[in-house]
Amino acid sequence: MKTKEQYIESLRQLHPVIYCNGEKIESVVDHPMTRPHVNSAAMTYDLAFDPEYEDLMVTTSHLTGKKINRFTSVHQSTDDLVKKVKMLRMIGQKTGTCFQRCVGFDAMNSTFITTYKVDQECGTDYHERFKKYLEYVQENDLMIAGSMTDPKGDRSKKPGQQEDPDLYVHIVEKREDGIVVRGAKAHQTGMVNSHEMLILPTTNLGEEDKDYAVAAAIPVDAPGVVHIFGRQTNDQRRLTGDIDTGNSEYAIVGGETLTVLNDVFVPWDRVFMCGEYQYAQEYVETFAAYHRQNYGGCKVGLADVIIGATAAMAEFNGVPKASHIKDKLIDMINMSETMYNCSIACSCEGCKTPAGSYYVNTLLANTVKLNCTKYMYEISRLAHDIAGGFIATLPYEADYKNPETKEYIDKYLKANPDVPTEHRIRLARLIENMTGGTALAESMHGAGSPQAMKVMIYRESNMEHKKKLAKKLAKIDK
Amino acid sequence: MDIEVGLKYCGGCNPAYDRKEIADIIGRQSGIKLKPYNENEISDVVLIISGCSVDCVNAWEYKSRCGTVLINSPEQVYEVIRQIRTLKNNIK
Ligand SMILES: Cc1cc2nc3c(=O)[nH]c(=O)nc-3n(C[C@H](O)[C@H](O)[C@H](O)COP(=O)(O)OP(=O)(O)OC[C@H]3O[C@@H](n4cnc5c(N)ncnc54)[C@H](O)[C@@H]3O)c2cc1C
Repeated sequence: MKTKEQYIESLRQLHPVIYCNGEKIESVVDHPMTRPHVNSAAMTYDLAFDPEYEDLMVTTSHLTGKKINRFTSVHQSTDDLVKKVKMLRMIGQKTGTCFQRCVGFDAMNSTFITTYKVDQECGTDYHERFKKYLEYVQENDLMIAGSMTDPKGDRSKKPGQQEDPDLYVHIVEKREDGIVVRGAKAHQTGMVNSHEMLILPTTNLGEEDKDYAVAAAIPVDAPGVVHIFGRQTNDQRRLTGDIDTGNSEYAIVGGETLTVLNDVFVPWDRVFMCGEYQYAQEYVETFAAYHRQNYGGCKVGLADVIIGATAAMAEFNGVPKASHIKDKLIDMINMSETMYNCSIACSCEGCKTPAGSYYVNTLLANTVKLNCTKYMYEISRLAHDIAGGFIATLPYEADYKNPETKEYIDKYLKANPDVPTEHRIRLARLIENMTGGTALAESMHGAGSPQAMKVMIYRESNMEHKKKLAKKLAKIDK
Repeated sequence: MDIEVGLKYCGGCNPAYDRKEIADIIGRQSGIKLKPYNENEISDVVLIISGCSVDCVNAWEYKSRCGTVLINSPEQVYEVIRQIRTLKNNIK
């Protein structure tokens, strides 16, 4: 396993092409726009060596029998699925933002299942290839970006019907030594501080979309790969101090990119699907269910922080005992633990796959994320209610540091006399960071938009059975 | 004779109390040095500190010479110390 320091050092050895705000980022480790995201991902390495957390962070490789970081593992039991959720919650409590490594974790687990099935039915050897790759990932404790989402162009059209064929990643050449892919992946969490990306299809495909049925592992600095770093709410505050940014150590969401694949060559041993369009839908759904499971882990960890910040703010404001405040805090806890319940349930009700690994209950996993698209907004709304309007109107950090204005700010923004004004401002900025803008949009669209979950929930529910139950009680024969 | 206690924490996803603080109290009150569990060095006793009543640590995976003691709530501190002492006396 890599230590935090070894992870950071390993990033220095890579040379991805990254553009951010009109300039090229030469070192993700040293650049202030990317460093907090590096810190956040580094937490997944650091905690694996901490006796207080290793029970969740470390597991045993089913391939080699060696101790590995859980983020590189394939689930071997429902207990592993439960521990994944607990691990995500625990890390979220420490970073207060996305720590990015779950997407690749889910991409690897779904690739494990899909390659097995494709091999069984098509006589290919993707699964063995993938196992070798997985062993390499485990041995080197790599961070893998999970790259599913294509830019998608006109949403009403399939990949092959788009005006521009590159709006979904596709194979443009098959060679003796490998394939060449072209297109882009959007919203790529943790991409710039990952070692490699694992690309997989975004949607179900028909025969005419054969070239879009591609899964492959690609180093983030492979020739032809260009990353354009996403802009987040208030991200430039991190360049000018450590108060206004809210969470100066770990920032906000996961440092997403638009990653362009300009005719990127992939050798055959890194190709895990190449034209088997019939399996794209199941692949996507498997990945999506694993990924939706996460949101009752990581987002609950974040909610723990938001709830803590809100309760502390009520104290800082002098109203911790007001009954409506307590009532709202209870509502926040209830929503947060409901998301957690869903995640634990979909893990406990997971099952063994033909590939030998364990998979979550699809229906329950989709309820996790659908609840998240509502509850994180409601939790944030209540946090805003309790925190007060000053989270929207606070002066600049620079004015707080300016001797000419600091005194006024200290005097007029004080509430509870026992609490320094700076503490109140710092907490307000943390709440602002975690409950608005980019952070909320992640709860909505990360792992799929709500409609995607609704489709799955309806499909996975046996409506005929429910109707039969009702008719029997109502004594309706037919 | 000094007793060796290997300390194993649960993963700490949502602890109901400060597990480290409780470990410190147990160490201080019992006068026994607790060291992180190491699978390569079998200790006399394994102390598992769980942050809540779920007790999600797979206790049977942790080997010791005399036994395993488990705590999942601060109220159990003195009982746990008594159990460690009993195990200590047993190996005298
Ligand atoms: C912060 C963040 C991090 C992310 N990280 C990753 C990552 O690491 N890896 C990754 O692969 N992806 C990632 N994603 C992408 C995520 O999975 C997508 O955002 C999600 O699938 C929705 O796609 P979209 O953003 O293109 O929205 P759209 O597809 O544009 O959806 C917008 C709306 O249009 C509706 N819609 C879309 N298509 C149709 C249709 N055909 N018919 C009817 N209605 C339609 C949707 O339901 C939705 O209401 C991330 C997203 C976010 C916001």
